[in-house]
Amino acid sequence: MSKIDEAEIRRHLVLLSHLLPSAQSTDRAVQRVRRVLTEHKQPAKLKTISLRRIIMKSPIAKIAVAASVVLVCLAGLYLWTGTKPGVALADVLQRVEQVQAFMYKMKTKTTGNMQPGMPSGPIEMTGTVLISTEYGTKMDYVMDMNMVVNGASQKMRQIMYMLPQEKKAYVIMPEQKQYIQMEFSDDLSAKMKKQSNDPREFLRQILNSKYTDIGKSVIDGVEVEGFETTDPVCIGGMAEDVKVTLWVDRKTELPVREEMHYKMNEQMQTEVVELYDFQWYVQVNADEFKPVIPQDYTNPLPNYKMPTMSEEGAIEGLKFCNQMLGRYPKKIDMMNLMNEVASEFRSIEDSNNPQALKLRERIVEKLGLHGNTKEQMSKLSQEEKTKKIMEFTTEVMRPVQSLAMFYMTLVQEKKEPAYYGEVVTPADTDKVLLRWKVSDNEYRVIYGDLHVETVAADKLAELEAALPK
Amino acid sequence: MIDCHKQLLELLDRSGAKLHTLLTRLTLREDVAEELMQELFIKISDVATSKKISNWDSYAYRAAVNLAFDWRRKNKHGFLPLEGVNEPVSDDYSPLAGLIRNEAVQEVLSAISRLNSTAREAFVMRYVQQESYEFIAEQLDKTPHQVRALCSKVMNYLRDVLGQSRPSAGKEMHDVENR
Repeated sequence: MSKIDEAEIRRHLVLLSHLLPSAQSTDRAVQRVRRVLTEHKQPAKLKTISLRRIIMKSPIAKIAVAASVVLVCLAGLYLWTGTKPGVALADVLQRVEQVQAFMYKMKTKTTGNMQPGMPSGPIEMTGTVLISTEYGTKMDYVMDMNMVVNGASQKMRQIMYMLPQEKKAYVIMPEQKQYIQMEFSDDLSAKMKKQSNDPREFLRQILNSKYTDIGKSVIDGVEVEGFETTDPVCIGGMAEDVKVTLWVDRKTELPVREEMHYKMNEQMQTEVVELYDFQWYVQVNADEFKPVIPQDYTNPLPNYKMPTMSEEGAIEGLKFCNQMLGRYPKKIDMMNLMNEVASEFRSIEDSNNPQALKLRERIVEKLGLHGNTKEQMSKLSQEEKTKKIMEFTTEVMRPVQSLAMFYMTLVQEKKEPAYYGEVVTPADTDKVLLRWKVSDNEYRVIYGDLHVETVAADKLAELEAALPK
Repeated sequence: MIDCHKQLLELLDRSGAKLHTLLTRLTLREDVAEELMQELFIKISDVATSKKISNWDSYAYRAAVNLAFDWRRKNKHGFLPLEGVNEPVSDDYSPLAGLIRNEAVQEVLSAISRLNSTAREAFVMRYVQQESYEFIAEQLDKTPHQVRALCSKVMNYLRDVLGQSRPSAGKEMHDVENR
């Protein structure tokens, strides 16, 4: 640089002293401070908003997490096309109703396998998600199983539409020339329509709050602030060893990137999910959310309905599990439950449990199979096999999914759920099997014999103290 | 606590715009200034809960200067053009926006950032905010004569540092008051 003499220094200082920010910027700055001061009348509290609360209450964070869980489930369940997207996307829509429309890209990598008998991975998925408060959600993604069968790469493209106004969802599979139409139950639909906070405002709160963050960084030239949580609640209690990192644009206060690592179950050791290239407030029109289903596409599950996420649905799920397992499942988070039930279904043939054998018979019959199912399945074409697996995972497993999704909702809504399936049996008429909070001092309790009642907190404490250790 | 909250709101009403202007001038970034405003008031509220602040305006002003220069130090390799600052409405200001992008202004601010806090606060009040020596003296609890001398020393320091070639321009100059 050239030398600067005193006159030049003074000139620069004079120029600097004349610099004025725009009135809009000043107004924003002042209002921002005023809002925070007003919201936190005790200034010391400005520092105490925890990261956990920020992440958990952030609709955008939940959106990203929920959406990614959906895709991971899709990837892991192989030909699964059913229920979890509805719930997760209902959560998405519930929390983002104030945002007109936005989109992002997603990349997932799954190692290990989600269920016994499934490909051991890695399974990779890439896709684009478009979310509109007015019209719904559209996801377009490709799953790569990283395996070749009969000389063909096992990649699958699916286009999923979630249309809350119509209470419907569609999954279109172009390669298979198939589609599935799903109808939401009223409770799920109601959840989807429920109003929530403005996520933009919430993101402002994140940046306006004093919290322990992981610092600043630059992503694609954008200055970002990072937040991190290891609370499993942030992905609906569906996984363990959770680590979620959210990077927020310091200028726009909107998410720029999210990375998630978690362990779904014992078999699936790691999950990596990346959400990136967020585009906020994009222009959309209704046509983008109209499923395009060519006439020659068929629907292998014409009567499919989404599972319910209610107390009744959970009880049905527990009954189903008891019939199949002869006991209650050990855990009821989605992945562990699905894994336990799917594993058990394969071994029912060797079981001496008459109830389980009867249930299996009903299921097999429903699937249109007879006798030795392995032999039957081996005789089917790939297309027919696909259909059977889809029927099993969507139709037959619906009660199980209802139970898991109800539990997931309780976790997400912080209703303090607790499940004691490892120590409570169907014969335990007075022991708490599942409970959750319904008011400040009251809990809803499903007992071992599946009767239900609401009890006071002190009564619950007594009941839980009496549980076998 | 309620008094503290009230004081903060009054400070915001009274001096919010002025503080934001100061932060913008020192960071040359509107967006950063907005964020630092937030940090500033949080910082003040923290301090106010543990000790009595006798002169809120003075404290806020000095804290703002320090916050802005802290930001400059942390981001010394990351300065961006003045994209956040809208082009001034007046024609007189238009050339200014261009000049602000000039490296020389950044050099001046960088040199100021290396001063000790009292010298920096006095100099910024005088030359960036164009306050009177009397006003500055009151804020810093000094006499106008002391402030005048201090500012003069800083100007000499800047002239020395910025008037030299680049290798010398980075030399530290913390103790202007005792030069």
